Amino acid sequence: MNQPLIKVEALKKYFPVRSNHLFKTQKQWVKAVDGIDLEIQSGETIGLVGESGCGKTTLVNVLLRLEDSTEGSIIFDGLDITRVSQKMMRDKVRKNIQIVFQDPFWSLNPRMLVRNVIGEPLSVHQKLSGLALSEKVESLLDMVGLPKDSLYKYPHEFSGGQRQRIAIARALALEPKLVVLDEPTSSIDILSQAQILDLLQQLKEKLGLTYILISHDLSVVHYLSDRIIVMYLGKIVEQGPSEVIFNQPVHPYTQALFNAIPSLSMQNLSELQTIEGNVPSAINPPTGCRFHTRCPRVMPICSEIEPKAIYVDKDHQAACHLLKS
Amino acid sequence: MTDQKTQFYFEIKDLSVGFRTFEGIKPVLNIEGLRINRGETYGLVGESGAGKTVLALTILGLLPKPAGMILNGSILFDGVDLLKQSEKQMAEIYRGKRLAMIFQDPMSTLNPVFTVGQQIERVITRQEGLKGEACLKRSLELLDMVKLPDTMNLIDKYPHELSGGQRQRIIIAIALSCGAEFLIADEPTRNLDVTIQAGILKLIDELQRDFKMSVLFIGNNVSLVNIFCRNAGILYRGKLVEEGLSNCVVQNPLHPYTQTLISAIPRSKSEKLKFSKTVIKPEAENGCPYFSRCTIGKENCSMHVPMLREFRTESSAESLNDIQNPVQKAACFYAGGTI
Repeated sequence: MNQPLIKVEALKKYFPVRSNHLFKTQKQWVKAVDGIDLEIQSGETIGLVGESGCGKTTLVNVLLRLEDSTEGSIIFDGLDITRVSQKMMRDKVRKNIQIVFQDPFWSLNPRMLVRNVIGEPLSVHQKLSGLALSEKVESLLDMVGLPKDSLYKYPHEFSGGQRQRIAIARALALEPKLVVLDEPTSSIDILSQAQILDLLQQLKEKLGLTYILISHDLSVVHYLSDRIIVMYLGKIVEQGPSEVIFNQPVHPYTQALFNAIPSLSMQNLSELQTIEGNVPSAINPPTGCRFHTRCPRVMPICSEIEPKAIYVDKDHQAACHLLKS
Repeated sequence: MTDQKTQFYFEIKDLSVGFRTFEGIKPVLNIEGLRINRGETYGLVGESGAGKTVLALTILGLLPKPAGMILNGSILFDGVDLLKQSEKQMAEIYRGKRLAMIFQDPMSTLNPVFTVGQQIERVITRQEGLKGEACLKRSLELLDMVKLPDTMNLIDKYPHELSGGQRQRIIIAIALSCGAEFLIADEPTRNLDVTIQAGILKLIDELQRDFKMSVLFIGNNVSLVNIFCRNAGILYRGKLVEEGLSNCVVQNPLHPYTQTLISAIPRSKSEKLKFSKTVIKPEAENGCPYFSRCTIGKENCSMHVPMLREFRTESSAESLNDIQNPVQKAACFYAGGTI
């Protein structure tokens, strides 16, 4: 077995919450990511799905070390990046992990020319400047399918889809090994979405990239991912190959989540399933299985004992008490 | 209310709306005709910037003035031309009472400095003149109607204490507080999770049946519109390019734009997505608005603007019996041809 590109063990990220009492300094914690184990092989695309508030973004922020983790380790390329210094991060790690943010209207500096937006990582890490920088940026623009004359334009001159292409070019400028895609298509319209997805797929094949894709649009996840991880309230409830998760999900949460996606073949609103209730608070997560408050197939044991992840198949895991019986 | 059979409940005729810019008036919306019957759901699909929201604002008389200009046309609602009503009439008779709207983003629609109760009560007090106990009672009823639990507690909460789905339910409660008969839902589930989306749609659907409302549903997700609405219209650059029963439009799209739109929805990994290579041609000033991106466009497309034409397709013929207006319409000279 190959060495995984990134290996996450028992990762936790808690955020402190101030209590309302003036004299009581009882600290509470939002358990945004609560004990996650994860391995990502080089060349894979991992789809991270779950409702908002389940900890997807926090997990990614910790992976990129935009936030420091509370506990646990992240081994990237043989280096535990939760412990290394910021300088080490910048010199060794950052150029290998890049991110494409959700909203291309906010993630590009409106005062910078496209040349500088894409060129900034190059001038920081590879000390490129002048003509060499322009040439490199031109080739990146070409790679993401933008015309060469975009070099001296400002971000506002582009449409949403084109801006996302600029963001992708910036992320790929340093030839990273891992690219995090945080809802890459949620704020652009459907035609550009298809083109961006196609571009991402092509770039992955061409450059041998590894993606972590976050999206609530499950059809997008299905299209791009090799493996899917379903999260609920800071924990992984099910993970496995994309086709298996889509066709035979075993966890009730995954099943409910996938039955809520509208598809072109549906005729009636009643075919859409809903999950009752809201995601419980991450400050006091429910005891036992965290999904038991909303689970349609809840059993007495669910509120008492937390289910452990069980291998359903070779690389298909799920954490649910139903699986034992 | 009029009993004339020939008159439609809601009808847009030759509407054209423009925005004043430094380069002169820019047309943004140009709709030849759009009809919605009483109690019907109509889904309008289009990309961002197609003019969907402008249409909604025009109907409600909320178009920002003086930037926005209504150049031509009429919007008939129950026999009255809404565009000819004064601002006072709109505010007193129509907006909020007979016409209601659910806006796009539940996170920013509610006022963060007032409690939910205050915001609902303000509307009821203004429109129905209720005060005190009666007002509270009505607010609680409304929260019940949108299936929110623990209403007594909820009424004193501020918007930030609620989730997106709860907020959207409150917005629906406010929108329908005065018994609206025509609801405009502008991408009501845009920023919500799929699990919550289904719940909100079912709620709107149920309320639509209960109150026999007509709904103009604006969305950018074709599959959602297909499930939710009986009729669908596809908007491209302010023009209606295709219209018909929603399942006919989805199963048998006639206009090349609709065809690309539907093929652009990723369905499964095994199915390779079809991308029409977007050869961007120069804009045709007097021609079809889709000309610059169209793959089947011929020379005459750049010379004349295609009007909506009626088509009888196999899928529309099947459902011919029980439906008054079974034809599918498309605005393309070569509609129905395969790409």
